[in-house]
Amino acid sequence: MRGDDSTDEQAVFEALADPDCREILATVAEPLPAKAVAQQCDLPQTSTYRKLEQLSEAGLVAEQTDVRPDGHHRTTYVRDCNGVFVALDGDDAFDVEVVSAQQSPDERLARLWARVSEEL
Amino acid sequence: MNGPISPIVIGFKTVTLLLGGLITYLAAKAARKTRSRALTYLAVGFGTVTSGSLLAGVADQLFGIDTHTALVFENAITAAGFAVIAYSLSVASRSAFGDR
Repeated sequence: MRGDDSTDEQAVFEALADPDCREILATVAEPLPAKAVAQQCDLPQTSTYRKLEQLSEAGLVAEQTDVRPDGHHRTTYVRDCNGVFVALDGDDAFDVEVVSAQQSPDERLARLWARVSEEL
Repeated sequence: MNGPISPIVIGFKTVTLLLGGLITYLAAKAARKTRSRALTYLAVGFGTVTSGSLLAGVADQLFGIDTHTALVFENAITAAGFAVIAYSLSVASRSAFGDR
């Protein structure tokens, strides 16, 4: 993960360790408001809000503002990753990389080149 | 000047320089973001090949160096650039994500 923030790393591990978080992550392939997430996952609303917050802090889910013509904007949540890579980085540190859903060309090049070198 | 160069050659050379420049730019951007040594070598390698191609053309056209010498010069730089690119893979292979 960029910036080597150990708390981010911990947040990713904790979010993925939670079965409800994983179910939510699987559900929000399309942007959904929290209420709809709670309904589809059959979870109480309060814990759905808490877990969505947890997921977005871990950078796995993105919050969006849905602008509607009647002026009542609502917040929706959408998955913001294609997966997470975890590797042992040398001797002591874990290298955690959240693969973002929207990769820029330079990120794709970096990933591609890393993949080529892994085949050596 | 060493005689007219066919427009096809100029066209391909232009495309080569533009694409080489684009790949160099993307590799440099990725290297800066990830602080990866492997990607730095990749950018340097592509930059070398691309600028070698440009410099050989400049030497040939503007400074009247004979075409044979310019070709030798260009191919030497291309070889060096590809050596750097190949080396970047051996740097990258030490870490799963390309040496963060």
